[in-house]
Amino acid sequence: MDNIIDEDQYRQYFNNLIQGRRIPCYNIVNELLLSDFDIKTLYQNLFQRSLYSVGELWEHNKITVATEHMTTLITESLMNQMAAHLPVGDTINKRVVIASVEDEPHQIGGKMVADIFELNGWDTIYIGANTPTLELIDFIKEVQPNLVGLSMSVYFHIDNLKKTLELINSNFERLPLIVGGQAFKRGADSRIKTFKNTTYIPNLEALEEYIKNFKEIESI
Amino acid sequence: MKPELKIIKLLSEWSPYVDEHLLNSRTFAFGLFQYDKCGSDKLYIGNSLYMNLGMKNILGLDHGNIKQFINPDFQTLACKADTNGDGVVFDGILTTGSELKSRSVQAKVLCRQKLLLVLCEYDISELDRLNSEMVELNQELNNVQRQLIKEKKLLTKTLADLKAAQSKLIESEKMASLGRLVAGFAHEINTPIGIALTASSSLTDAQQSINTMLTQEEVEEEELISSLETIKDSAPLIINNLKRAANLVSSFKRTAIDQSVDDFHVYNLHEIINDVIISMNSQFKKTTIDIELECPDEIELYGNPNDISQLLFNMLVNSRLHGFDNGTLKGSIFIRVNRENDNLFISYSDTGKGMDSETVRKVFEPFFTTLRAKGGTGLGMYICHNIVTNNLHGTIKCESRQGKGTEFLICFPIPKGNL
Repeated sequence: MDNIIDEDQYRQYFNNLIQGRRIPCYNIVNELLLSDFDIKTLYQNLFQRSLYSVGELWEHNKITVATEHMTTLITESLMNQMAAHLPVGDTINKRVVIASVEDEPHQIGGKMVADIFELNGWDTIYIGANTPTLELIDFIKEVQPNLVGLSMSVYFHIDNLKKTLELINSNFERLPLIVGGQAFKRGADSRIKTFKNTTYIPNLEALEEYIKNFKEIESI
Repeated sequence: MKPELKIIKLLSEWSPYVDEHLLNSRTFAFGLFQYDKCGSDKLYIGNSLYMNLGMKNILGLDHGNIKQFINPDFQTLACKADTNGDGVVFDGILTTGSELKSRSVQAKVLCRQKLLLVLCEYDISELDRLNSEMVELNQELNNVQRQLIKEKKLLTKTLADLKAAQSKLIESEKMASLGRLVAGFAHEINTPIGIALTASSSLTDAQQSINTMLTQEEVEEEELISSLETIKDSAPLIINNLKRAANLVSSFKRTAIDQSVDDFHVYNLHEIINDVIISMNSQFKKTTIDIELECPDEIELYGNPNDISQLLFNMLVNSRLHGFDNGTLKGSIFIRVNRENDNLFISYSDTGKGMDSETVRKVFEPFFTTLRAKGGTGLGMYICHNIVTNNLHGTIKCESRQGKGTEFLICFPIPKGNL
């Protein structure tokens, strides 16, 4: 199956989304699932693409922030409905914690990442948007994950991300970290190069590759 | 000239163009900005010429700063004004402040001769704050929903695993009950075989005595008669007991063997029930429990006789164990069979201890047992319920009173394939 969603079908989805019509959107998603499109394709080529377009429309003041929020929530609810039909992968005894950095209100990217981990059999703990850094540190201590993923959509939260990475590096020397999100498209990746055990994941393909080749960091 | 007078003069030059907008708007903040192109790229610089108090508040600084225009930003406004010329540059929600602390206002931006007049009509920051709160709550709701979906998926998987494990347990319990049935038959067959063996030993002894007598010159009449008597008594004893053993083997074949295969054929109901009672003889003969069977001889059914024998076997085991305290109490068991039109009714009752209402309510539940500590699996009556409802397509009810006994009422349609 190629990974290209028919442009007409995408347009139809996008128009319904922007007008707040959840059910037709759900039907289109269902149709695509029945046509054997995989989750990763739907996440990137339908959800991500449409939400990026919505963001652009908001930036150009073509739509209100309320419409932007509505489209986000519809997308989240579609993801939840899809989650009910996702196969439960064979567990591989690895745990990942996914969170959005402090003050970051966007959470869809993190959810997509969490779902991909789950499909690969990881025990996935998704914390959500705007995770206070200190609480995240305590939580990591409590659940002892094999990996932590941090999502950042708005570049202005780079200081919060750096603070979080610093704290995780100093508290958990051998804990691998992945970071990603729209903010990195504006060059944030160059600002995290100094952090230990930290990998920037630009898209879901790279994430799958990372999961496939994941290795624990050996003790020194 | 005072700045206010200067601005009034500047604004008067916009008339009547501005009047129309000002008169129809609910402006609480306004400011006048000038912009200029910077270099060859579409980059613009700008500064404020005048801002009223409202505008200063919105921009968050006393002197204002064009960087405080977030969406649309000053660059976008100036570029649009430069491209489109005089007129309305923007009409919508203007976000000002900083990315981290912003406010939103309904605004209009007008352009005239490289000047931008920003009119803020009303503050929608509160609305914006409420909207953000609502979004946060919605996100939380969404996350809870997601969590519930995941939990449900896990529970569904666990349930499927449990069902598979339960089927395995039921299968092994069926095999265990088959084992008990075999043990019962083995014990029963042991008795006639033992008698036949003793009788054949006596027969051999008598034959040897006669042989010895034949070698002697004189034979005592009494001795000869005694040996002949032994032969006379032993031979029928051997025949009768071997016949009994042969009958038991047939019984065993009908019940135990049938349990291990899904063999559908015509069988006689009375015969099958009787075989089960015989197979249980070893468990009941040392007790003071009577088993009475009332079943028409002629009822023949098409199906797997295992269903009936397993059903009765489990109920008899339960009566002895629970109703009559492991066979220590005195009492009776009645098995009554009636045919009415196309339905068969089996009433199985005992005069044992009976059960309380809570036990009756749970009696068909899998793994419910009052004797777990003594090794009860709690599957016997569950298997009975399954046999009646799934295999025989009928119903089974339990009625019981403490101190009075228990009755199971079974009803099922006579199978269509019945001859």
